Amino acid sequence: MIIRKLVYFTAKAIQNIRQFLLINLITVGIISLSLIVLSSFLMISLTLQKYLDTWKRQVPVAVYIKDGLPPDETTAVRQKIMNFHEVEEVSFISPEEAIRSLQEIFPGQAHVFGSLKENPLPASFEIRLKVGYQSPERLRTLAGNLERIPGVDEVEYAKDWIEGYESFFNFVNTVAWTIGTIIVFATIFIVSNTIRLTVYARREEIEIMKLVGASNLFIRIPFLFEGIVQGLLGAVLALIALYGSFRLCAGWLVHQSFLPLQYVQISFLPLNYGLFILIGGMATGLLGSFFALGRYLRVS
Amino acid sequence: MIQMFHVYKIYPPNYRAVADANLKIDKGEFVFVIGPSGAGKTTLLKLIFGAEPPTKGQIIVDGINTVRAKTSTIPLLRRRVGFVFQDFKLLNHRSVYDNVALALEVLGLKKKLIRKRVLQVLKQVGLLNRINAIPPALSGGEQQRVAIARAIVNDPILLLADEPTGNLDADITKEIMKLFKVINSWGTTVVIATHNKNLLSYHPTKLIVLKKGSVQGVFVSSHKNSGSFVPQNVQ
Repeated sequence: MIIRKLVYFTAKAIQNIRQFLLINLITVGIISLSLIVLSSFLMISLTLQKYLDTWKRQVPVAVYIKDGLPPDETTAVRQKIMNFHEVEEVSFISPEEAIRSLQEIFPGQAHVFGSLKENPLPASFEIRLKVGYQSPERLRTLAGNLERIPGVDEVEYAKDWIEGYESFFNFVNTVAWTIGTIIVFATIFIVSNTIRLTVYARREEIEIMKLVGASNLFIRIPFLFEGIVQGLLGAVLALIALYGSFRLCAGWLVHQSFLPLQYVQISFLPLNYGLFILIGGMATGLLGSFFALGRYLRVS
Repeated sequence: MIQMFHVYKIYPPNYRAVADANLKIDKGEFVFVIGPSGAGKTTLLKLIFGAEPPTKGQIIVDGINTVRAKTSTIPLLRRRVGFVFQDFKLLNHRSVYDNVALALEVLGLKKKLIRKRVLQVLKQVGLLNRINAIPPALSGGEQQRVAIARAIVNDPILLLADEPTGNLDADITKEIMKLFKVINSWGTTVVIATHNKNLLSYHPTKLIVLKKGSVQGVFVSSHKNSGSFVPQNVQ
């Protein structure tokens, strides 16, 4: 019985789509365009997130130890640092190594380094953190804990940069989601009104179906099927267009010097996001149909 | 079969389409509702069909109080009541077969069963040869027969017809009225609204006279097919 009804409703939806092909294509186009814009925002947001993650992973935390700390206490400090579960790798930087690397960074300033009577740089431990422990809050807590280790003089990390990037990313993310939500609602509204045109064209049919005893659900289901099919087609088209644009533009974008994307591998939307777009498209079509039909079903 | 108790239908601002209608129609009757245009005939039929709720009063059709019934009950009632309209109300882009089959599709019947029943009914109304035609390609009489076929395909207990011959010439009117008589002979209660007094020659068992929304009188046939009527008191 259920299968028979499903076959009937699907056939009815296909019949309706074929009968009002142009208006159905317009609806599919609108859904597709909206999803392209929405997906673009998603991709921008994901790329930014990836960029931030990559950058944060490279950010070292420097733990400066007090001048003249005996070697056994220095080893104890290292051991205590290693005990933090956030820490992935610890390397010791002696004052000599520190000044050498500084000379490498500023080769033109040899006379400055040569004029120094003694090495002013302290010994330090450079820490690399595990992935997922780079949020500003976690870093702040970790730095506080590290500073409490006896023998530690000071802890430094790119605090301002990380917090600045984080708040910039959060801002972009919020803007993307806000615009995305507005687009989704606008799409449902437009799709609903477009579908309403096909409903209007079929108002006589709806009236006759009601006269022969069709329930509201019986009339509604083929329209909802139609909406789902439109949404699915729109989403598939959007993903194809997006993938095409991605293949064309991604390589070019990476090599643009004005964009800091050299260290980030721009990738297409992950599978779960693709599924989200497909389901989102179907839901948009479904809701559009649902709202379009309401008024006509109230007429007896 | 049908009972109406003090039924009013008032359209805004204050137009009384039906006023204090009290009626009783029994199973198997062949009833005419007659009156001039604007007498409330169509509204009366729509009230019976559940297409319009009354402003006041109670209506019982086949044991269902349409005023108190849930919204979901009305479609179930309509599956047992056929309705034939003056303007046919056919789907112009669908074939004769599809138009008739629609009434069975809403019941969720098997395709095979639908086909068997639709062909049977189209044979009864003499349209088996026009099965694939679309309504605009049919004559007025043929279109009305399609509408009748659709109304009777699910074997209704009650058939309502609103000016079914209003757009048809005399010969076709005769043909359609004969068809209604045949349907009535199967046991289906038939209620026809018309302004055409000439149709009285088809011998209704009951005559309801409407004027300006009020029931002026209910008359029953004194002898079968005699053409003479006596008043009936339904109060």
